[in-house]
Amino acid sequence: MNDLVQVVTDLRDTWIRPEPPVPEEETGFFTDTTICIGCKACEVACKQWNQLPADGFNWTGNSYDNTVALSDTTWRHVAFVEQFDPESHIGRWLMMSDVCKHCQHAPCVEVCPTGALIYNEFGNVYVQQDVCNGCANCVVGCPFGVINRNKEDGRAHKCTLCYDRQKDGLVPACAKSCPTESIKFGKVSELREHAKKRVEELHARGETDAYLYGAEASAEYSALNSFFLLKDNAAVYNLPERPRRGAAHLKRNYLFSFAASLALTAVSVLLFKGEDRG
Amino acid sequence: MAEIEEINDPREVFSKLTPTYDIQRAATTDRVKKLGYYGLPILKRPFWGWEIALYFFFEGISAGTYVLCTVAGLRNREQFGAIIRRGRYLSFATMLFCPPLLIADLGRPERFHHMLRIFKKSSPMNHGAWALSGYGIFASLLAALAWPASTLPFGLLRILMRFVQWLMPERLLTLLGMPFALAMISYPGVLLETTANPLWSHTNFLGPLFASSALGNGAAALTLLSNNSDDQALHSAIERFENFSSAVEATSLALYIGSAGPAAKPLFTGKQSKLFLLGAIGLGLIAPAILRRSRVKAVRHGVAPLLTILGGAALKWSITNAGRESALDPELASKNAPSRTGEPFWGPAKPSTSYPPPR
Repeated sequence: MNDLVQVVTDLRDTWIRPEPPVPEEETGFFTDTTICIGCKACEVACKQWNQLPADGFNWTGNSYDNTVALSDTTWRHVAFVEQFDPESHIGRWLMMSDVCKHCQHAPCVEVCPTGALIYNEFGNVYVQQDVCNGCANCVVGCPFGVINRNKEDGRAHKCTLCYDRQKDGLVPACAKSCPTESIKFGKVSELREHAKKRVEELHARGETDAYLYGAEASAEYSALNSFFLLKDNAAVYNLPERPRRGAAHLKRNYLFSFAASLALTAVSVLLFKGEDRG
Repeated sequence: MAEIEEINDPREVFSKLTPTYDIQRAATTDRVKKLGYYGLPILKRPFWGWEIALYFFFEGISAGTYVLCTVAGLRNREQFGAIIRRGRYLSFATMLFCPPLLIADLGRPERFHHMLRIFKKSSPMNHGAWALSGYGIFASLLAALAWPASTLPFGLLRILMRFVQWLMPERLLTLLGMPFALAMISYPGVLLETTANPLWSHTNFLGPLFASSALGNGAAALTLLSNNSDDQALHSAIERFENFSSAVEATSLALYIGSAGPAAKPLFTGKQSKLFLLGAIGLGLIAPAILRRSRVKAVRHGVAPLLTILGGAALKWSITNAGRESALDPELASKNAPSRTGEPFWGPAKPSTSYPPPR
């Protein structure tokens, strides 16, 4: 009997939506890759705080990157671009701590059919684990390949921007642990100003290839609340040059699709007139 | 792209890379420059597989039949009565497969009803969940009402059935169900298009392709159901509609391949290429177009529609499953959104060529 009551209550609660928290100023990350030293403290801190399972101990041969990619169980990933000429030993080493971009118009939020993916009061993209039913639409929606469905618990997982820590006024685990302050956490408006100054400073020093990835909206894609300072083409860091926002094309897609089905229906109206029995 | 086959879970990569990977080679410039970031994919592999592919097939044939039966009923209900009744049963029977397939695909099947928590303008899957719910009700009601009251076993049941049939006029119900059925036909392609997967999203014609395939499949099913009828008007109407819908389907397919360009590559070279080229195009489109002109009735009204239906299944199966291969291409995933200038949204267009500096 109690089980039945529980089931009925759970079912009813699906449609009950409590008052959301009062929105606050948007927060995000600014990841300055020029001062990243590739220590992976962010990866470790993230795994520890969020109690994420290990991914196994393996060597990829891709420089020091044995994490490979962001996933449902890896929410910070340090990329290592090791470009050396084997003969002259001249080159460079780019390191970037990758994370969920917390897009201002996030494709994962837009396609989520259950409303599990939301913007929380800090403007961060957050998966409500009690709502997500694992339809995996966000997995194909994300142009950065960030979010993934977990094979064991069947739900989508990604960086929460340490929602729980932020609620208590703490800095996210990765930013807290970063020894060089390559990962900076704060209000997005302040981070952007800081980032612009940093780019100007680098340009003045002769590092003219420094630029901000995602600080501002561009073409169909919105600004990213966690944006990056990069030194080379985005694809070098395994970031898309032109990320796609599916919902930007939704109206056009529906227009074409309904035009075809309505036109064919109209044709059928003309053809199925009857009479002339054989 | 060729070296790594599948990556959803990074853990899968290790097992594939570890034994053969050459650390020396990984550190050289040309490898990094040629393949972006060690040739690793940017996107995650879709989880949608056989359940979604079969769902697209069943819901297409179900809603396609529904629309054609509704049109036939509105034009001439008396003449087409027999085929409409059979069509209603088929719509209902194929619709029954849809919910279980969709629920089986979920990571948390017991939470399927969370799709109906909200109505969301930007989510085609949400639209689909509502469309299927509405369509399911109408398809079931109409199949039940199509049952002739005179064949029921008890007198009381017969009276009850006649009363219900009088209470719920079929004509009104079919019309009320039409928007849902048309949504069911139109949304599957849009669901795939509204993603970041290059094979599905680099086009506007996947929607029309799936829509015309659904209506074509519906017409083919009606041909099979009217096999023993000698109503020439019915046969010629369905046949002319099949010709028309397969022409639209072929055009949509050509436009899809044309607009997707390099993103359509997995359909021609990947694991699904045989099914797509031979099954969907060869047996599903070209063969029925020829066989419909056959003089043998069994071929015209039996083999041809059967091939059309199998072709519809092959089309949906190959395109849905080839999405997994498309996600592995970092090149397409990097230049994913359309652009007139070809410039990246942020930063330089080309990787820096100054490293290592020339000797």
